[in-house]
Amino acid sequence: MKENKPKLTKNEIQEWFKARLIELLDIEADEVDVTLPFDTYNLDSHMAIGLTSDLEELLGNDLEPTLLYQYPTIEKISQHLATSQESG
Amino acid sequence: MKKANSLTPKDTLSETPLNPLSNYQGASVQSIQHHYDVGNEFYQLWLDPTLTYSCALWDENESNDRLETAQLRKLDYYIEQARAKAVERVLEIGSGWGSMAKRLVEVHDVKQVTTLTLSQAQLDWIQSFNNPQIDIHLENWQDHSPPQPYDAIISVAAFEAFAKLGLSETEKIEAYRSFFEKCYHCLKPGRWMSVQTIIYENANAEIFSQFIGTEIFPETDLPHLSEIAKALEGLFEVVVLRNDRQHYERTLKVWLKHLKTNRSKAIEIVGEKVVSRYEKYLSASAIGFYTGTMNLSRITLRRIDKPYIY
Repeated sequence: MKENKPKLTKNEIQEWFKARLIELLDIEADEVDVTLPFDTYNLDSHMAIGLTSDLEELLGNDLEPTLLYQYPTIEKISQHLATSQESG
Repeated sequence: MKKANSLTPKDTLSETPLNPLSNYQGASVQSIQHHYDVGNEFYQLWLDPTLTYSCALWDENESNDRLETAQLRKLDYYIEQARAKAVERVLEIGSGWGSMAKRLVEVHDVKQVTTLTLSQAQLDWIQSFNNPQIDIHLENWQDHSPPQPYDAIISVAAFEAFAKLGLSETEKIEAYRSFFEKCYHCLKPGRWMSVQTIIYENANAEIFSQFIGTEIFPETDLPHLSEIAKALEGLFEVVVLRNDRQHYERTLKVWLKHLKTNRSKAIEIVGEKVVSRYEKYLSASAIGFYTGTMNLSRITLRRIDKPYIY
């Protein structure tokens, strides 16, 4: 997948992630902390695969299936993806 | 396909399984065909040109576009570990699409390879080689009775189908022991065998993905390394053991990338549902190897010629 989609900032990706987690896990906004590991939310590999697929759709790029494990907080993965878009 | 005659054991170990619990026959023909008979054309889209469907052996500084090289290196590794170079007869358990059998006869001067598969698609594919040095059987290893023992045995990515979810640890070990007993009887004294299998590392059947165990590889459970060690006790000694989970993570990521690149063609062949299923399975497996819930064991075994009774 390589689609021309508008580049997103770290904050925009973070906001997308927070909204997606709230929806996926049926939790309140104040329960999401961008610095906490995904493990904290009991995010399993099936959810990780689904989120990665949604992210690919959002960014228009293929992503590594292990990305959420390599960058295990919302803050870290958002930073990584924003930087990758810049260099890509 | 040749019809095999009976083997006359020349050693002291009975061919009868020693424990009545060991009655699990391994994954059925139907479950193997569920996975492997999706269609050769589909697998051609995302495997390397040799159609080797198991973990490659990567060099540290190799780029991901060298998958075929890494797969050939893997085949050579198992051939060398089994001391199969230039021997008369080799048994391969789990044929895949014939890359190992071809490598044995075309590059390593083996006179005759007998290879066992439960997949009709793989049988048809390998028969199309029309190579008289490759003898392909649609046969469970338990039913294989060669006319004489082999000089070497190689089994890559078949062991995972020898136990299914739901068996107790004792039953699993007995199923694995039946396999090693069969290999023991099929191998000449003092000869070698090499095995590759996925194992549970930091996980067990309770947290093993039901998705993979039911939708992708029906009737499949993974061994723990300790279960393999117990099952081969007194029959084979472990000479070399490598655990290479990072190699499988990398192989899976390359396969997934190929599949995504060829997604439209794949959908034309097998439909979107199957493609999505495979994308999910390749992703879940890559995560499993990355996090260490699963590992990839490469095991070199030497036959013990005076076994003790288990």
